[in-house]
Amino acid sequence: MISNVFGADPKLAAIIGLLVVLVYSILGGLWASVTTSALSTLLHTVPSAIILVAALHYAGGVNSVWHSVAAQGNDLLSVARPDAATGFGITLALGLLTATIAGQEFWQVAWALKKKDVSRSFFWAGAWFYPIPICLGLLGLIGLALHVNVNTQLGGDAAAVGPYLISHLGLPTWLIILYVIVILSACYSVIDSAFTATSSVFVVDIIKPLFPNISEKQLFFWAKIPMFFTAIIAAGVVLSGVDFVTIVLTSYAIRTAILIPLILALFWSRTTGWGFVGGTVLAIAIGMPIRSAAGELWGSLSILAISAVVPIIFGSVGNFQFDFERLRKIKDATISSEAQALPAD
Amino acid sequence: MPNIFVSLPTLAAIGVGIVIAFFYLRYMWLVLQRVSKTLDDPDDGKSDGFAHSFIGAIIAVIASSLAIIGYGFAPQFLYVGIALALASPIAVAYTFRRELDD
Repeated sequence: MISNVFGADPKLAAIIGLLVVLVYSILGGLWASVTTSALSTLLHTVPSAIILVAALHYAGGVNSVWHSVAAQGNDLLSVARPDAATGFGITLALGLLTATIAGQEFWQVAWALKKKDVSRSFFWAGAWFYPIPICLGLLGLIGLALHVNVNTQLGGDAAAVGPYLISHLGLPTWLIILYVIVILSACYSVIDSAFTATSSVFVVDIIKPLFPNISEKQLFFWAKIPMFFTAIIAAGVVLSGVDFVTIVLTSYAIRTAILIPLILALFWSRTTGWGFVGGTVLAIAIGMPIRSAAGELWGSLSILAISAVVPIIFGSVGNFQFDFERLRKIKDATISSEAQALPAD
Repeated sequence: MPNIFVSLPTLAAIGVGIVIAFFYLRYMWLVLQRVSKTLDDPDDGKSDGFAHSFIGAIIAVIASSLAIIGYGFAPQFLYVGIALALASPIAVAYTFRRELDD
């Protein structure tokens, strides 16, 4: 986006963006992440609507855009094209489903909410997320109408169609800046959620079990460390030069491996740790090469099948039965020993 | 019409957007203030009902699918996505308002 709109070095822009998010995530933690997410909802919706109304006008109006796409045939205005589903639709749907069920970004929000608000918050948030891609997806339709070439004009990255159009349609500068704010706020919101997610997993699953008597101050310090490593990994991915669509589809295919093992762990008492880990690892190890050789559809289905079969086999042959009632007796792992030692009011 | 506002529909979208943004930011600010004061209150309430939320989610999925399918029916349906994008913050602002009333 940065290279399309400003002509600046996209890698440098990504590093600066990462540093900005790193600083406010370290200073604000989950509170900063939740606050920016609430603000992002406004920034993703109202400006997007204004930008799209203007973009449609500059592209010749809705009639011109719609008829241009319709005239190209190939069912471009239909949602029933099988190549859309096999090319990216199934992988994207499975990845989004997994993110919501298995993503620590969502679990930490669920733990932060009051019990009475959890279900309605998630359903309400999910329901009102749809308008964002439905609205901004119109930029793809405008790109089709104007015959934007993915290979020659977008450098092979279909996700660049939005920034390309916004910077080439002749829109007023303030609308271009507004678009940059929309996209950056979306990026920042996702990145700060990832930072706080790695931080909470690191503290709860590694630091606290290793040092159960750690003080709250030390715990707070250790919570910041994984944010740096996450930022370094993210910077490495950006600097690799891989296009955005490939990154999204690859990461979504990988995360699909955890979907069924996690559902089994939550609802099937015979699921074992070995089955969970074995299913996830084997699904990635075998499924990703299949994906490379046979494409998105077969890759995603292979990952899904392997990740389901392995934990079921492990669970069926063993005698393990997990007692879900044990979970009710687990204390909050993030409460430090000092706080636990305080007498109740 | 100054070129800076692009067109009349764009100007209308800006006007509606400013009104939505005003109420959204106002309720968001009030909710955040309230949350910061009640952050450490004990959570001894019961889990909320699942059924109504689930029905709402199904309706949202169907409505979103119809919105996308609608793009193929006629040019005017392209405005559905834009209308939904403006409806989304209204819905969230409404939940902020409800939170203040609870």
